Amino acid sequence: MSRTVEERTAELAPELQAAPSWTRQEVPFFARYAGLFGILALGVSLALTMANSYYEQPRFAPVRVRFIFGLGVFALLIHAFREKHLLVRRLYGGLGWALTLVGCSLTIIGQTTLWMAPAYSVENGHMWGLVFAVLVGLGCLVFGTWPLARVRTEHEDWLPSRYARALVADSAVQWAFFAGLALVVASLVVGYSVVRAYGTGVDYFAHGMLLSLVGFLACCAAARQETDPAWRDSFYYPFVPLGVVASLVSAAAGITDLLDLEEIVLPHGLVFALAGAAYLWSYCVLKGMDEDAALRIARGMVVYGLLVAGLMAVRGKLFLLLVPVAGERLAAWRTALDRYLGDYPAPHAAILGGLGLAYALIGYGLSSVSKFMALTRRELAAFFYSPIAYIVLGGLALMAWCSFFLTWLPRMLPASEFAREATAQAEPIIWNYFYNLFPVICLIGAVPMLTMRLLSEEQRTGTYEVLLTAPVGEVAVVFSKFLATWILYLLAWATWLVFPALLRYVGQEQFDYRPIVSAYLLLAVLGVHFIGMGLFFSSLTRNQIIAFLLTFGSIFFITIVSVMLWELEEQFAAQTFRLELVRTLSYISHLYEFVFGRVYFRYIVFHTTAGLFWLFLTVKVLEARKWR
Amino acid sequence: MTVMIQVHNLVKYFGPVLAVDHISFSVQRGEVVGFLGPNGAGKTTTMRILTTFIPATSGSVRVAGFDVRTQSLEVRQHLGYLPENVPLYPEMRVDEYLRFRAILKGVERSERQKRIDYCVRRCGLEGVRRRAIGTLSRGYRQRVGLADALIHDPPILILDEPTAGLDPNQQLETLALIRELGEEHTLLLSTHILPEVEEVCRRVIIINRGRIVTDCALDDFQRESVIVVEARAPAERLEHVLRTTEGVVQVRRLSSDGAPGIAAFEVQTDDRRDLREAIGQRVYKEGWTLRRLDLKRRSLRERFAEVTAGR
Repeated sequence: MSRTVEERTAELAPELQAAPSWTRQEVPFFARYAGLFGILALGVSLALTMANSYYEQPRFAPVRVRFIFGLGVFALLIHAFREKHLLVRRLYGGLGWALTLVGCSLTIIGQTTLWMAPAYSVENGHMWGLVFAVLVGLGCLVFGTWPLARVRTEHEDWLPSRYARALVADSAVQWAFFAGLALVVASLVVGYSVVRAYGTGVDYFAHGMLLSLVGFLACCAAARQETDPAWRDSFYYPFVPLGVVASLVSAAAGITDLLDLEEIVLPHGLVFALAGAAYLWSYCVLKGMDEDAALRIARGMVVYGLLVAGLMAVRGKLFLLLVPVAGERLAAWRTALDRYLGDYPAPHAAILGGLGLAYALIGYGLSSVSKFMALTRRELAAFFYSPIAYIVLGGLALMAWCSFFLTWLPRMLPASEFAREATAQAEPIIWNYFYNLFPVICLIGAVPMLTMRLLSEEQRTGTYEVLLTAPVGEVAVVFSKFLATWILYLLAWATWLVFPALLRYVGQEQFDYRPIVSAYLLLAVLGVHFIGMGLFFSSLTRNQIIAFLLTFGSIFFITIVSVMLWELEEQFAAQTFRLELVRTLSYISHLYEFVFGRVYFRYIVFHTTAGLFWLFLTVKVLEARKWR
Repeated sequence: MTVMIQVHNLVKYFGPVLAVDHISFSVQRGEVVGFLGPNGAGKTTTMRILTTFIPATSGSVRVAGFDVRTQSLEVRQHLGYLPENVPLYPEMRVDEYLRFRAILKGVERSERQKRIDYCVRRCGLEGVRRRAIGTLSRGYRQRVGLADALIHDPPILILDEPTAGLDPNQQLETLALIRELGEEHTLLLSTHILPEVEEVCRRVIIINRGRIVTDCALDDFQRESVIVVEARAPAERLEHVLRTTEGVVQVRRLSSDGAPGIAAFEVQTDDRRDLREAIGQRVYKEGWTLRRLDLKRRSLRERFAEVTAGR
């Protein structure tokens, strides 16, 4: 019944054999120049490193050499994501897997050695690390060659027996398997010999994880661009064993505290958990959520996340926070529970539990079939297709670095010229970090950039019409846009956490981290307020620049009010209402209070309701086309 | 026969401008209706009202039995709409986009992949499934829009200028597809290209300045015919002869091509009868020589020009 367009056309007008219409073929000039630059930069950094090794003292500052190296890697990744030529893309994919495997084996062998060395021996650690790395490598190998086996046997579902049969019978599968095996063995040899050669003194974790990250990005680039299904699948199927192992390791190590190491949750467990989430998430996205396998993984993430969160709530006795009694009785319960559960640091439990919840939320966001979540997913993805997400993430990271540089760095580097005074940090460390101009600049700059596009673009290109003639309500459209923007906003603020972590783990500085929690609470509700406002302005106009300026101007105005608070306080001293109004609006003073740990419920309520009010107005603007 | 689209006394003002002026029509299940009219006649406005994108000023519209004003979500669930310039998200891939739209339109998860595969095959998108929409040519974008309109298998399809901006090959492809779709769906399609309508539609509605000026089956048009007679004869007598022929309704004198002694007439017959033989016989009996005698079908183009003249 259904014929192709070509056949139908041939029938309708035999003389017009329908040529498929020409599609625009772009030659990725920029990407290729970036790739060339990347290779040159890698070459230069290598040459400089080799040159350095000839001298007693390095002639070229190692920081600069590393910077050039990093720049080269970045440029190569741009090329990997942009390249259109099939062969080059596959080359990058293969390189990505090589890097991932080397990074993984380095991490696993190095980390196991480090953990086992105190209790057993270094050799023992090497051996166990090698065993774990072999297992992970074999997992990757099997999953990587499975797509080809699937194509060859024409079986969709995963059965080990089918795989084994394909492996025995088909020469192409054998070829792929042995090539992959060679890759795995080579990366194991590299990882093992590096760990053997340098001992436990090197931070294998950081190096291995960075290598894996670059490899991961290269694989994603290859998988996204690939047109042949078998190749495409083989680029991202091995994400499953990696993601599962990383997730399990983080929680298992954290829950059992078997090895009795303080740093197992932070930073190692945290990084493992994030890596695991990234691997599983990419697998689901690349596979497509309509596939049963992806759906199972996503639901598994929900269950696993909730399980970890529940376990940690019990283990760290966090659930006691919810019990509405205080004082001695609570303390008595706590000691009683300690007898059964043992002592476990509450912050670790909070971090692991939070990660568990994050897993559950990611899994839910991926697997949900509601229209609302579908809209949110699209909106969130759209940010990453435009430069806005990268500008905002990079901008906030830069601002965090500025704040870090001006408040802490002078004392962190004893050799630097700034460090004339004490080398110890003075409390309030977090307060110093957050209570300055940089978070304000972030808010004024980032929020309008995030929101300007949301509805203006849809109105300008006309997709608005397609969207609103689908069976979805205005409320779902507006709130999904809000939620996506808010998630990205929180993600961007997460870059501010990197520097306190550096201070703690590189600077070895103990400090009161709890104000971070209250600061983020305020930033989250400020996000609700300002993003709601930006969304409203974006709904008013089809011009993004006007939407940007309106939002920017409004936040700027509120900021001015905030800055002038003290002056206005005197002026309005007699007028309680005005004074209260100014106090409520002045979000900078709220930041001051919250970062000191004074969490005012009324400000939370104010910012949240203000945001909801703007969202309500936005819904009305969308509905207003029906009043005209 | 159930009524799929029923429009009654539809009026739409944009501020002081009257865009749609009391139009009424209905479309039965399985009909393929061409919605014609010059630019600015109110076609797109009417279609936007039908798809619940904008509300009517007054009048009632029911689509698939649901009122567009009060049951807008049900209406949207039952129709597939291809807007005029096919707005799409350029950054999404074809597959991704169709999947996203399928979720929005409430296609069940178990059905989704099948529907996507079906629409992709139907619209000839196999080769570009993994391409970003922004890199596609105009013709492919049109097909993606059409696949999107089809994705939830709606009983009604509303296509606003589906062939605008396509090259002749692509127009032909799209038309072939639309004709096939007309076998399963109720179709309302607006266009400027009249031969296209003759190809695809069984009924046309011509709208001018917000009013319906013609609403009839295409067959009626084509059967409506005139006979052109040219003979070497005195004009008055020939006219008399023609008038007295049985079945002739109207006779109109045409200017002959200047040859002396030649008279030319256009004859309209009642009930679309073909009187060529009768006329030929009578002219022959009078002893005149016949220079031309043919049946001229009235084309849609002429009719269109006629009813939309004065703009």
